[in-house]
Amino acid sequence: MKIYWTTINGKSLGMYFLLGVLAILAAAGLYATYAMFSQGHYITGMNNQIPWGLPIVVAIYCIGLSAGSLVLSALSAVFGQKEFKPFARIAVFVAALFLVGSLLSIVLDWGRPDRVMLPFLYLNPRSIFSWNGFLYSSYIFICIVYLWAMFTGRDGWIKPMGILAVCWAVGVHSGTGAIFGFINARELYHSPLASPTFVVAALSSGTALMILIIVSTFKATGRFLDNRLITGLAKLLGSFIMVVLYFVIVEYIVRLYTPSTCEPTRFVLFGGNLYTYIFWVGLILLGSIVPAIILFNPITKNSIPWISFASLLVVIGVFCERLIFVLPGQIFPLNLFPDMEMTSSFMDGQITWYQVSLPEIAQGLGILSIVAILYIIGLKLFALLPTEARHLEHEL
Amino acid sequence: MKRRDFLKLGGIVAAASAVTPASSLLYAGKTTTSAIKYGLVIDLTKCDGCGECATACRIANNVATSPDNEKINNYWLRIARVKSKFPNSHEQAIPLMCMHCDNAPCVHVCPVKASFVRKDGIVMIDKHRCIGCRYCMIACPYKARSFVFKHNEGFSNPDVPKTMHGVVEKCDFCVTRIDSGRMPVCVESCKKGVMSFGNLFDPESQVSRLISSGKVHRVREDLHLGAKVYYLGL
Amino acid sequence: MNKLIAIFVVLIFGVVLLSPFVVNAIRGGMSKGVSKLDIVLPSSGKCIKDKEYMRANHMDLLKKERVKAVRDGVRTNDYSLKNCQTCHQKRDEFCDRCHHFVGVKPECFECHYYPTGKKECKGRE
Repeated sequence: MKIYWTTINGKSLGMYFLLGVLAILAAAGLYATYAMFSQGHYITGMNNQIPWGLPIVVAIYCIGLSAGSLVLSALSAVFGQKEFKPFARIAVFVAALFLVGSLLSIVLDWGRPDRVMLPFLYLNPRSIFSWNGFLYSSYIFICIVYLWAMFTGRDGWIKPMGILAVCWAVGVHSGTGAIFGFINARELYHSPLASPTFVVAALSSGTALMILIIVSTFKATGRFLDNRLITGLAKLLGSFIMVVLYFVIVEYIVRLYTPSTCEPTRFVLFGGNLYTYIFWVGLILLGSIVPAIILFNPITKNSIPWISFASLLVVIGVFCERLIFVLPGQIFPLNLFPDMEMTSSFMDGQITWYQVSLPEIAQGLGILSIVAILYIIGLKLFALLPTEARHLEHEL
Repeated sequence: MKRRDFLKLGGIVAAASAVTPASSLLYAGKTTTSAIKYGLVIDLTKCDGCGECATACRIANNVATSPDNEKINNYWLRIARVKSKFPNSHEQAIPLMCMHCDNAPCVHVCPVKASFVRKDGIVMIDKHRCIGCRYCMIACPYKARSFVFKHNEGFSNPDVPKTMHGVVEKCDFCVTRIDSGRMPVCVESCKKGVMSFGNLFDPESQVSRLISSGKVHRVREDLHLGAKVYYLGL
Repeated sequence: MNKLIAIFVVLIFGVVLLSPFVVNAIRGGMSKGVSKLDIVLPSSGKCIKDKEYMRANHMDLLKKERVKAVRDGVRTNDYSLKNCQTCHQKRDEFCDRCHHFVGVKPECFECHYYPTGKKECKGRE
């Protein structure tokens, strides 16, 4: 099957309207960031008990979306699923964009973003962050080379670059999970399962996001999209959801069983607080069970609207998974004196809530908007989209 | 001189200057040695938690203070009150600060090597290099570190620098005082003689004698961090 | 059409590139007409190095000193900010004026105390 790649026209009123809204959101995000640095970071919800807030959640979420979408491209190039070739370019492009988004989020979260080059000057081989700085930047580079190979039709390059990109994506995700999993001090972080959970959650959210992006982009630009391609992706998504669910269940059961982690885990799972709802409603019910029912139910599993709805739920559910991963580990106090009651004027021994602030939300939305703007500009400048996406059997 | 010889000579000069950097010739001051290992012993049986050390520390180190918002009020040294979960139990005041671990997790995670262990065992932050990523605050099991959330105005002690907005700060055993041969300010300010500071490698120092009594413990010894702040009667 | 877009993009790039100058011009950095560098020099004494060297390299000396002091605990007085203060007693008459003149904003004084003519250090609590 010969695929013809084109750019989008991008001159419709709706397009300009969309770009305008995104630009306003991005400007608001940049202004919020400016406010954080000019007034001080006390205007965010972070404090000395919770040094990592929403920006880090957004960053690791973006990284997850990045790798998941890359795998979609690798489906055709590496795993021999030739029918997904129409999505190959767009998937790699989205992967690179979300990595840019996550790097933006991380660097703007720093107290001194002007020192952005220092991690490359003073590499600390024991620091996961140092490794990640290397992994993330090289990952963008690999994505660009991969795209270049596809654009220039160097078929000999595509498979090796695809394999490299998939390996790198796994490394990037394991590295991101290791940021938390290697931390011995915090019971709710320290876990060898952190890295694999990140990888599978990335696959699940990335596939879901790609379904949403593909369906909406093809619809908005009036391109033909074969339903069977989307149902094929949906099958994949269904299995990813089950793996994520399994990992989460294993993780939390071990934590409940272990006396030292039992109390903080019970606080998250049965504490009746916001995080209890995020876990049970956001992650388990809406993020896993409902989409799984939709994707495995014979009535709904072939319907594009239902699949899109399930994908949306998964995208939100994995965001909840990130929240539940990053925040409770800090909200629950550090255990300096086990089995003792501790108080102090520095929030020791007490649960400190993270109250997300407007600037952080604006910054997160702004970064996502920048990613979206770059996506639209990319569609306009580069021939990322096929004229139509047909299943292979149409040819035969 | 032939060109070849000239190049050779140049090479020798370059190699020599690489071995002895010019900066090492310029400085005559004493550097830290690993023959010294500083440590602190806190005698909790004498401590009544008056908090004078914490106040003195705050003033002496220009710690970022925001009285109107206690969530971002930074501490280098704080007094925790600890008691068992049973009724009528005795409440023990415990001064907590950076424990100056030998295997400091904050040093391990720092992506720019801004956190480092000095040769004499003091864990320090190079605030000129810190990027403010706050990974060290996540990694520290003692919550010893604080982020400077807004511009830190005014000096309470002009002799030492304050910390700028966007950088992490913590106890450094009053390193400028130590380098000029004085005691950390918490040790000096305590009127009850709760704290003693000294060289752990020196068998005659008071810290060594207190530690050799065998009654000292450290906070979270189970983490194997090699903390150098010891507590008597913990 | 593509040409128009390219010109537009180049224009935007140019505006962004020139924006610092425009902002400075509007704010009055240029209109103040700082044509003469009126720093106040100490009446007597000699700096540790000659004037030209210090003008070009004082920041490197300070940086070297700071690395040694922070990392190795070598606190000599030779090239430190404290030593500067023995002759150049007021920051706003010396450091700040020249830095303003050349348009650099060093971060030293965000953390390090250097007496200014105006406000003195204030204690807290």
